[in-house]
Amino acid sequence: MNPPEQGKDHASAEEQTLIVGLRAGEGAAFERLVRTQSGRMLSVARRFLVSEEDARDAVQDAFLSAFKALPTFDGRARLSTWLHRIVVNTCLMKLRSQRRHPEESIDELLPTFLSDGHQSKPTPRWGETSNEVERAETRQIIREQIAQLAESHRTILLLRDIEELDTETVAQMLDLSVAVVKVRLHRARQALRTLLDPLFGGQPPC
Amino acid sequence: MLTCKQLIESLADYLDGQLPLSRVAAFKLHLLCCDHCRSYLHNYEATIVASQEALRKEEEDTGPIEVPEDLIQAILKARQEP
Ligand SMILES: [Zn+2]
Repeated sequence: MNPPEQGKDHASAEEQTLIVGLRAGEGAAFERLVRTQSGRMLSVARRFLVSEEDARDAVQDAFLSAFKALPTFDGRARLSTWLHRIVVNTCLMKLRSQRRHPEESIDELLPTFLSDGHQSKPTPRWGETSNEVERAETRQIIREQIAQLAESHRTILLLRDIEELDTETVAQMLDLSVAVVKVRLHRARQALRTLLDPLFGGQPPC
Repeated sequence: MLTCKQLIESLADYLDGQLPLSRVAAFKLHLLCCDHCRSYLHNYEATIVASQEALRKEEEDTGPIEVPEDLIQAILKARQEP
């Protein structure tokens, strides 16, 4: 067992040493930072950006912003948490600067209703999914299905459900209205629910 | 009486505790008598939990990501450029 991390969000003594090295401009400290943190940052960037090249660019841009912002880093958050936020922001900037490509509609993944407002197909109830989700293979499939979501919806699902940012913050970050963020989050979850149906024992899609 | 469509449209607000109090009663009443919507709510919540688990445990599942050495070198080099 690892000893419990003291004050999870506080920088450890080891991290303090690293920060001192970074502030002093020591090359070795920068290299250590990049080697220990870039993997996690790359995996976050890959969730947001489809193209591997964009994901790598985002990680590089994030580090460069971080290096510049280092004098303002107050050490109250962990370096990893701080870098995580920076790379998420960098990915969003990239998404915003890219020309919107037409997306496939996710409508066919949404539930349908009869004219009287009843569900037109019965929803088979999933069993308990928690045991399933304990399997690494299941989690891999879920990640692949999340990656399938149209970008405009996936981005919001990631920011709200995974990064756990609130609706207003996400609306500001993406320059969208609160109402649009809410609708897209709901649709993204619904679409993902449909994509996970075969996995969790609903009926196979036909 | 709330329809399934109206209920499902307000699921996210309900789970966020943002459904106006005046609508919570109708929401719960519909759930009580509608099997489909109960299942839908169950699956919808399970979807959220499953996506969180899957991404939270990504590192555990895939092991540390190999970052291409040329990317690391590019970052370190870019730092030294004015
Ligand atoms: Zn119903």
